[in-house]
Amino acid sequence: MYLDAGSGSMLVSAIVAGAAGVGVVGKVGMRKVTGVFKKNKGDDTPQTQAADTTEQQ
Amino acid sequence: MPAATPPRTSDPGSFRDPASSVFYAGGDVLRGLNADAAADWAAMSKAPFFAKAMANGRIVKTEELPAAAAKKAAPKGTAWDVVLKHERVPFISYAYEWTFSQLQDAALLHLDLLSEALEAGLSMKDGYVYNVQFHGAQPVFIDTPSFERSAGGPWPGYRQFCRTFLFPLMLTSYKDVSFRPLLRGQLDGIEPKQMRNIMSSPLDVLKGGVLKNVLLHSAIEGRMGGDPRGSRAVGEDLKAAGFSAEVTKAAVKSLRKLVAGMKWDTGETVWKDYRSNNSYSDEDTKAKQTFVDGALAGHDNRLVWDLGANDGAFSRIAAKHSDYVVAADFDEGAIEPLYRQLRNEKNTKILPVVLDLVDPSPSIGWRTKERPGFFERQQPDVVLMLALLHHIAISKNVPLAQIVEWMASFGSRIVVEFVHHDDVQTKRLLANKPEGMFPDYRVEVFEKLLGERFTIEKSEPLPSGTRTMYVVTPRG
Repeated sequence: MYLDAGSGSMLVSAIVAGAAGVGVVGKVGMRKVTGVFKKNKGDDTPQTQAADTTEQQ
Repeated sequence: MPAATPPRTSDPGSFRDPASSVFYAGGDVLRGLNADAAADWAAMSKAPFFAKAMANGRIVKTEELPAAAAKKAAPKGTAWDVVLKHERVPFISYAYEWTFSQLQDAALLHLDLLSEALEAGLSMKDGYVYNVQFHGAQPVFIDTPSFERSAGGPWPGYRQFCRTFLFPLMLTSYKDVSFRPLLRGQLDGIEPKQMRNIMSSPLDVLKGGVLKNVLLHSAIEGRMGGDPRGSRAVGEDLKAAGFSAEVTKAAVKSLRKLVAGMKWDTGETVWKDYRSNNSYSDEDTKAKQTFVDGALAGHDNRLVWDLGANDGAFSRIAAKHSDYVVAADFDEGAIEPLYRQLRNEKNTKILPVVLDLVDPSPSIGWRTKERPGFFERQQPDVVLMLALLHHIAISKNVPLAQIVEWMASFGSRIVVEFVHHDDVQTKRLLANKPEGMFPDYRVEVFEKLLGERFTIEKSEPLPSGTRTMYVVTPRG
């Protein structure tokens, strides 16, 4: 089936790839990943499930 | 209960991919493909890994129908470029009926096939647990249109793989909590955020795969979920940044190592307890085996259900006299070791499933037709109900009249054992209930009820005198 791969999930799969994915994460993801940690520091509000990450199979 | 193969009908669970759809014509399982899916099929069917996987039963045996036959077979109002014919899976089961090892083996099959596809310059468009079925104790991949020509970029199925394979396995392996209620309740599986909240102990981060696949996944999803350009554009960005098939191969390798290393051992302990607590006398066991063997021999049994199969001893007898046996028990502690044994034997005739008969898998999904309930799937020729009814009647308080009505609803020949009220096992169960709660739990009452709904072919008391065996056929 065709499905929404999820923007964040695809980036995570590059991180799961380890060394092979370092370049991808470096180019596209670093800003977002570091952003996550900045956001989470002292931020205990629940994360929202954004509309485009729900599966559209 | 529906007939096994309704003529020329669409599969109500096959609609999510507009590129292909499953339908049935006569006894055949067919799949229509549009032009795009047909091009994927053309590429895939030439790949040596695909032919090999079909030959050894890892992918469902599939052939392309000649154009004339394809046109004739398709349901009215449909026009497919190509029609495929799949070998029929003898009985459909779902992940919410599997044990830990079954789900683990299904996950490994999915990853291995993806890995082989990537090596062949192909990819897969999803990572869904419902792409896999079991043929006995062998997992088989059934959703052939999942394979596609690779355009590079990330594997779109990673998120779905986490939700329907990886997180459920983590739940059982790391937390000793069954994944079945969650998968039964959520067809799309466990969300990253749910999984993060489950893995909430500070030490959970040290468990294999949790940091990246759960914590980081949930955090990044929360952060990036709102990207207004949509995930397709993000996928293109990642591809442009160097997300090649090599990166996906490395991710799949890492996931495979993670999944293969997961363990869950509770099953063994419970099963061993059962073996030592088994109350049968040797004479009873022998007489019962002879009775069941005699009841099944000489009949054309295609499908047998062994309800309350426990360690599968009677499923094995049934398998000698039938094409296929579904061994169902509510106790994963019995079904897990049975699956492991059958897997070691490469058994493709006995399908072990976890099923609570007083709370069986219901029909779920879109219009509650997408994944039919256990009792809505396929009519068996014979049902074995051995050392079972006293559990339903006494532990679960179901009146005998309702049990017999339920048995009649199968429309099948039944081999049933009645464990009398004065049997040691029944006494054990009665000791947990108020005195005098089950005055009607008597063999005479059962026999009368049985006679109203069935013709009793044969009945025989076991040597202990506290158990009676019956073979019955439904009236009318």
